[in-house]
Amino acid sequence: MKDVLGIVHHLDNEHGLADMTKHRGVASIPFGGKYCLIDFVLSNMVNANFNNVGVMTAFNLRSLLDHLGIGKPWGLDRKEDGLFILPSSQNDEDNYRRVDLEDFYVNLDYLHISKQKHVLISGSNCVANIDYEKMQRYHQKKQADITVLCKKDYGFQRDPDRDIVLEMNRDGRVLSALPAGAGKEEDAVSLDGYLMEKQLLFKLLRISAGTGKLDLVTEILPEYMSQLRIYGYHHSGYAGMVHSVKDLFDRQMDLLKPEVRHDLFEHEATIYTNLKDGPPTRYYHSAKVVNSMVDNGCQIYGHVENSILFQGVVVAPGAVVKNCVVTQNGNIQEDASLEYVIMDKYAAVTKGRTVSGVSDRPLVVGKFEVVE
Amino acid sequence: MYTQECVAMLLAGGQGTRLQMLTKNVAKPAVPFGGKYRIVDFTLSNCVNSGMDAIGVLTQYKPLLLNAYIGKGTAWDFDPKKGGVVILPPYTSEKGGQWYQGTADAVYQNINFVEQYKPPYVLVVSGDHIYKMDYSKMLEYHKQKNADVTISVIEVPFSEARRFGIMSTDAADRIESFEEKPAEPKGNLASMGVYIFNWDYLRDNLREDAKDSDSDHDFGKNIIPAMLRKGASLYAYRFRDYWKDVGTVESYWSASMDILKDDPPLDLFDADWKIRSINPMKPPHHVAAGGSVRQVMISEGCNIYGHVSNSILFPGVQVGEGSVIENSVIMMDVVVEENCVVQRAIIGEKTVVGRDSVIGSKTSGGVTAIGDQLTIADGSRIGVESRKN
Repeated sequence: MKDVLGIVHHLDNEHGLADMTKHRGVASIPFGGKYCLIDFVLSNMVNANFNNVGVMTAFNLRSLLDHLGIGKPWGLDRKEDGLFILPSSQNDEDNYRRVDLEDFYVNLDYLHISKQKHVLISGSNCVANIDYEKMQRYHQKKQADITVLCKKDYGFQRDPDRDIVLEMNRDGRVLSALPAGAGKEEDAVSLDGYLMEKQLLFKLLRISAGTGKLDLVTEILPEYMSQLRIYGYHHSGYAGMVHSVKDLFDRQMDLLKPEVRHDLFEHEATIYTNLKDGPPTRYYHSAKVVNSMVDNGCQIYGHVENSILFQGVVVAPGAVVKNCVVTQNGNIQEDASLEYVIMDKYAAVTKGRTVSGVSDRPLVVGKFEVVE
Repeated sequence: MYTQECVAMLLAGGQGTRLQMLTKNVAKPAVPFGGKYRIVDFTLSNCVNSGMDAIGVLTQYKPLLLNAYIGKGTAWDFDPKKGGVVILPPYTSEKGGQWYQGTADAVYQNINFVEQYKPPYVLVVSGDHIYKMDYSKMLEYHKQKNADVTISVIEVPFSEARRFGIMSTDAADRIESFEEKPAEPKGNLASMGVYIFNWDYLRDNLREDAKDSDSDHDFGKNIIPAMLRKGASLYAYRFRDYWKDVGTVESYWSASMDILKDDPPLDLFDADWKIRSINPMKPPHHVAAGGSVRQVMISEGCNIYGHVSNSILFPGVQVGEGSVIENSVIMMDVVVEENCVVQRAIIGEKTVVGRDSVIGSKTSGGVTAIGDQLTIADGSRIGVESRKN
């Protein structure tokens, strides 16, 4: 698929993710014990042999730039093509556009210079290991103008405003694209991936410029539903959208099921990430671990159950961590107790403290926060 | 080309024949150790952490994996602008070529590599040992003593002294005698195979030695004794931390068990002296509801359904339900199927242990070593009976 340009569009204003987006955009939210959300889309792109990937980014970009570097983990550190950072048009936090065409205007030069004939535009908040080559074959078979990535049997709760659902006919042609709140239960959920010829994107950009409509998904596509052949490509494997803290928590808890881990991580299509050196994890005599996923460099003396631990987490003697996600360098001190908590990087819970959320509302302990 | 104060020459040709199955496919420096490292990672990390930016790696025996593993050295953060890592295998020139005849010959054949940096000093290290050492401190000592050669030394048990180069020193730690692998050692001050030489002096001695057809072209056997005979100033640099030469399967196993202790002699969690390595792109490991892990080290990609205690698991190990692993070292991507018992064993990369098998024994006193990429049939019993050596 050397003729497809990958564009990861930015979504910085997912307010549902609360403190997790205080220091970063959605793309670099830690996920699954060692990854960032953007790793899924980037890996899917390079696994389908994309050579040229542009990542759009707005404010709070330090964490994302730190993660991406020159694209080495994904093999995108290339002389020709490779990884490009595309600055966003605006810093207006309250403006929620699903695919913001203004960002494409300001990066029009890049789109023109890139040699690829097609473009795949995708968000970064979909957790899935997707075969884009299959999607492109479907696109060609259907002679589609635009193919939208979707999941028909989406088993998770839909966000009424943020999720887009697709009504399709039997052939897979998309009849309507609406926010989930206005759609039907049987509609497929969009996984926020759009494949088209670059020439068509330019055409849509001209229409957008003429009309002032800037959201590709909710403003442009509905108007051209009948003129354009828009098809939905169903991804049969695991897929989940992350719009809220609860989504972020639930999708990580899914990883504790072997079949989900297998679908996402344990086949030839590797999910790549920026790896840090760390020794193997140490479990001491007093450690008790039940159904948990733990990355390297952790030191476990206490009790860990149904949880996900990123690199460098310390669980001290007597501490209990149940149904939690503890990201890098979390420090859980003696006899502390955590339940239904997402701990952001470098956070600590001091000796004997109890922190608990509930399964419907996991509690976020912010980056560098110390619970005393 | 940049000039370097000290160029490192890493001898990575060791066969390590006494490690048996561990070195069947790879040279000793490439033997996995410590749950995610290879032995050479310790020396490479020491070089980087000591600020050595130009390093030549001399390979010879089964170099394929080692060459691919080390590559340009980016995993250890060597700065390529200042030299980085260059692999130096034996080569041919217009005068012909041959294998490296000994450790000194390996450096002699690469005099041109060192010369391009015009260094005052050269560090010669072996890639066979497990330790954390700041070579820049040794270099300071070398300069302070105004020495021609400084050899890093460690006290070893007298019973083991005949495996090493043993030296005696005067009160100021100037070396008076040096004997390579003496049959009857007079002391227990052993060479760690870490040398700093004034480069001009070493180069002249290497050229001289190369002309001597009776020489084995070995640092310990020929170069150092010749320098001593000439009255050069050789100093011993005493090292008192953990240093391990894992010469045999048993010593490999016990060095592995050492790092599982509560207060390990070798701290892999030391943030100020990181041991760097190539990290496999695998998800975090998973311990299932019915599994248990106690006093163990586990790397990425493992899936644990059974019970693992006092053991080291390298990346990608699968432990089936009902299986018990104790006091063992399990290498990359090994699969231990259901209801197996593995005790006091080392299992090589990618080997599959069929269900209901028993490997090793608690009581035999020995260590059972299983090779790489083997398929062990269901219900096998290996190393269970006490062995007669």
